[in-house]
Amino acid sequence: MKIIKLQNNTTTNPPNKEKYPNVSISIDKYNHDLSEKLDKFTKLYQNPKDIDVGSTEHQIVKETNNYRLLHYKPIFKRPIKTPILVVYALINRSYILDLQGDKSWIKNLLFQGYDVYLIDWKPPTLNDKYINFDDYVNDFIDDCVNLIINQGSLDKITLHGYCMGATMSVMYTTLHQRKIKNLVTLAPVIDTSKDLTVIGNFGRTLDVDKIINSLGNMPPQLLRTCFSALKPFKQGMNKYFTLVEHIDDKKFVQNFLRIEKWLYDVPPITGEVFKQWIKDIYQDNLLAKNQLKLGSKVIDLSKIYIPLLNIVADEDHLVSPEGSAALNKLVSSSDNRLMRFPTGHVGLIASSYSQLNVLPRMGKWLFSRSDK
Amino acid sequence: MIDSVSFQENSNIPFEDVLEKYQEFWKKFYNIPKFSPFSLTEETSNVVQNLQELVIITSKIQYFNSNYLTQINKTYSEALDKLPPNKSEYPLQSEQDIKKYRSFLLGTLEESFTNLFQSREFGTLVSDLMGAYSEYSKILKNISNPYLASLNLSSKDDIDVLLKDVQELKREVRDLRKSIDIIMSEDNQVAK
Repeated sequence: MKIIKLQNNTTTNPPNKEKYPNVSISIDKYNHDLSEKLDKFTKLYQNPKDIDVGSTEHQIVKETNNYRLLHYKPIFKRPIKTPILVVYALINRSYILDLQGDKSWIKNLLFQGYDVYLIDWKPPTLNDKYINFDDYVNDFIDDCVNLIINQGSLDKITLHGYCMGATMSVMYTTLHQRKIKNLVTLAPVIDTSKDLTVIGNFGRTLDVDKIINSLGNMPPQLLRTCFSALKPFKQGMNKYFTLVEHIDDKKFVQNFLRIEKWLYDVPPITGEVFKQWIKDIYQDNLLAKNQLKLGSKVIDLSKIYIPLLNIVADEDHLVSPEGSAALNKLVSSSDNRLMRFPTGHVGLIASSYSQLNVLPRMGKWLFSRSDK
Repeated sequence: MIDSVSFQENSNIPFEDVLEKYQEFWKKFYNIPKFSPFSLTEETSNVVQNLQELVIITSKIQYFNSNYLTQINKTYSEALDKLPPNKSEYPLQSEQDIKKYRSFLLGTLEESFTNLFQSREFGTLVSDLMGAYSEYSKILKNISNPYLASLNLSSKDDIDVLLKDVQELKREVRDLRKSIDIIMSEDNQVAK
């Protein structure tokens, strides 16, 4: 790669020592170091080694064409009796919740003594294009909840969702509340009238019928194009500069590659789900108005009365924090808590910050509301 | 014959008006008799109509693409205009200077492009562009359907109908299964 020499080459025009008395690195040296690092960067991307993700030990309890229900091996012999069912979103893959050992959301919950299950959605095919939210909520999630209840001879479980998975968890709780003891939501999409994000803008102006009628499912290429418009320079470009600067730090590089793997691992979304998501939720805001229908049933958020913990990221540029926080005012739960953290959408679940700040507080809230 | 108006030569004429004139010209071909001995022309008429729609949609794609790139270029230029005219503020004499300038440059570009992506006008433009590509795909499907039929193969629409029916049946089976589960659990409770 050709390096363009910067101005003020020290061999002909030394730096101004009066102005910069402490400059110890010459531009020439910086150029030389940068050149070496860029070579390593190029080799890394040409020949990346296998990137391990989702390594916490688990077994597959149930597998269908549409999902796998994973049960993570409890750390303690007698975990907390009320298990947690984690409902991930339909965007990207669920291993973001178990990205690496020291930043695994799942592992942290296991170390806090919880019994954890996760619904890992499988990428839909064109045959699945008519699967809608009614199927995801009243068929797939309900099947998983029933299986966990029957296996453990329980009455209720804790339902815990992230992003679109949190929205689906809210829908499920409205219709099947007798099976749910606690509801914990992370960055749910609830009230889109308060959404000023780029995603919200694209969602409100999109002619989704035209696109889905011709494409069937929402393809990953279009989803990636939309996501690339979010912070295209600070996150899209700057991260590669940061990677080059830290190319010799193996831990940093591995962490970076894991996130990169996840960012570009985008499955399609079924056509009907995408239509409902954009038209009913983003454009017509039916969920917040208690007018969203799943099949023949209306989702009425005011019917939720079980304990609710709603966790929101204040620097979220994907899901409007104000739109997420609206959930607490729409439910009827007397035990109703909103926790806000100064972090981003992915930082909320897969960062050192979340390990140290979010998970302990969430675990403490949940502990007093779970059967032991 | 339609006046030979080049959109590029006379850009004062709105794009929609040019399309309308083009469509009016081609409508004459739809009036070819289609009954009795002339029934064979119906297929020809469909082919002509599909080709005409293809020409219109590729024009629309070109138009929307051009607008899209104009917006992007304009935003990029506006962002660059915000950079300091001389390097007195960012002398680039050390590694820290380089990082500081890079951060300022990326921040300026980020702010400009985020404002663009958050604007309703740009959202509508992207929707129009994606819609045009979808229509293009639909027209290609319409062109290929008669050939599939002649090969005795199902079209995408035929398969769509089947898939929809299958999904409806799956839902009914699910609802029946859950009703049976409820009845059986009630029976078990009564038996106890």
